[in-house]
Amino acid sequence: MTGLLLISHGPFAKAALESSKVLLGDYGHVKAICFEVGESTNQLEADIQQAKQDLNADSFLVMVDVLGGTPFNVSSLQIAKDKCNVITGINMPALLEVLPLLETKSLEELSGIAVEAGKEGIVDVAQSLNKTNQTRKRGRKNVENR
Amino acid sequence: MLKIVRLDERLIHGQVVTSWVTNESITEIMVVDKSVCNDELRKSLMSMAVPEYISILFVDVDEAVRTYEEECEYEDLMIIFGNPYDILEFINKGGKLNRVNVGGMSCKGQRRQVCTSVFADEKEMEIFREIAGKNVVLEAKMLPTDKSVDLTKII
Repeated sequence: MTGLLLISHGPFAKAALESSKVLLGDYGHVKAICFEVGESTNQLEADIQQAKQDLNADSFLVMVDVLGGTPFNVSSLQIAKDKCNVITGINMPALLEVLPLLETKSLEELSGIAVEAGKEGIVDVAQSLNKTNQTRKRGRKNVENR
Repeated sequence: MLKIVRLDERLIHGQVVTSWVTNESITEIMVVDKSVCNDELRKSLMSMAVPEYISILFVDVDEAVRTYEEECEYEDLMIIFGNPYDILEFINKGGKLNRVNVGGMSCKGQRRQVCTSVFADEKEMEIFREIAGKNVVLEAKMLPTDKSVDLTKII
């Protein structure tokens, strides 16, 4: 089983986890850590270690809010030590995809799924509508020409 | 030119990358920290976090003193120090600073709170006073949008 760790600056990680429960229910094997203003990196390190212990998993997928932030810096330094990987840019599409698969997929598979789902979940709706409309128009023309 | 000199024990992190670098139109960051110079993983992680158009240098204090003026001729430079001791050493070895932006120094060990975002122990306070004594303004300010606090008036 892979444990999932969400880490953010401020309340985002916990809030994202709560939001995921609205859509999916509670899958477990996941912890959220909110790194607050004024907290030291040592404290964050300790929180991460504690969360890993609590999760009691074979490996850990760590999702952090931004590339380059302290949650990223601190958790990435542990990649070599624990069996874990870090994915940056927590978003709901990635989270919703990964949560139900923690018991069945490997860390490597989950990492790939998180990145792909995270990217695919970001859509420019106006642009997509335009594309869809164009395809429809083309489709209709074909029908008329027949 | 030298745009900003920052003291931040976390060196390059979220606030630096998302706020300061854009706000000051930085083209190059000089990280002055001996331990990071010898740590390939930390260097890679920090480089990963900075946009590609910004170059990043990892140096110790001696090299910083030797090279910063030349870098300032070609780049809009941000210098980041990880602790006050290195700043004092930089000045004592001939580096010229007017103003230091004091970002995060977190609550740990024997440190007591100086202002919202800055905690320092007695030794660090002494170093702050020495730096201030060299006509350097110490300005505590985590983000560009925060109100700045003149540390020289509190220490």
